[in-house]
Amino acid sequence: MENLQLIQKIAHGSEAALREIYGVFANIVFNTALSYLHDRAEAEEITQDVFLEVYQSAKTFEGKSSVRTWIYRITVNKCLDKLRYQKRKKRFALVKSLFKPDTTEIQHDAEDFEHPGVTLERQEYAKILFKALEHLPSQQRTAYILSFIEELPRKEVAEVMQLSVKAVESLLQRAKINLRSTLEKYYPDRRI
Amino acid sequence: MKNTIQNSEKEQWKDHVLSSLEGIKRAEAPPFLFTRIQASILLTNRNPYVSTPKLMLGVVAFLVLCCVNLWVLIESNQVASPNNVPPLQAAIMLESVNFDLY
Repeated sequence: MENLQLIQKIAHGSEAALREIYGVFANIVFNTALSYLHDRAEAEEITQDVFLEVYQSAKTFEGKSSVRTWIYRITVNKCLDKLRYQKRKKRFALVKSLFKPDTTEIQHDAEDFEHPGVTLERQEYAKILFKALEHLPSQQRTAYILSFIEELPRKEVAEVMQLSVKAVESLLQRAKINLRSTLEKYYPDRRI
Repeated sequence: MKNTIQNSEKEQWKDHVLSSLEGIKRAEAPPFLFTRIQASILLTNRNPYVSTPKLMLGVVAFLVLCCVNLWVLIESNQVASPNNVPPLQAAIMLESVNFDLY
């Protein structure tokens, strides 16, 4: 059955149609969330939230973009919201720790993230790249993840981000420059 | 010369890092996740969702209503109590009452 028909069925409350849509898009959503959040449990939570939103908002889906683009957009927005929330929480914990030095609530940076889909010989490099990605501004990060990890064509990335293809190209250009300069500090000193 | 070699090594290393995600395989979403989604759908169906702005609007409307009621109550009390009338106004009022007698 076509994805659009499935969304129309979901709009009428069909859980069977939701299961079918889930079967098609669960891995896409889960992997995108994993690329942003670097944590399996949080990626699971985002996947759950995305399909709940699909179920609740199916009535408002106008079909102006493809279902895949729509689901990607929901996923990206949820991930960015989550990252903003984490940042706020971290800042708040830091301020709290200034007033209560004995507090145990200080948020520490996550450990190095090992993506399960990366081959063993590339794992070390991938860990560094994921760390460097955390330093990119959100739009550049989104463009990079969708283009190089999700391997979407530029046109679809532009549709997900609601930008022109040219704007996406420029974001990617800047992302690569920023990543190269961030990688500078992760370069292992081989002179020792 | 040494610096040039080091720089080209560094650039090569960066290239390796940047290409490390090429051909990455997809991770599998856990199979139990759909059951969790079904459970959360059931939960939201039971507790109809009220959006935060709507809730805030309701709270603000209630507070405004309380304030207006309180203000009306205080105003009516002030008008009713004779102690709040200024002495000059009280004297004029008494005069007019006295004139009414004749």
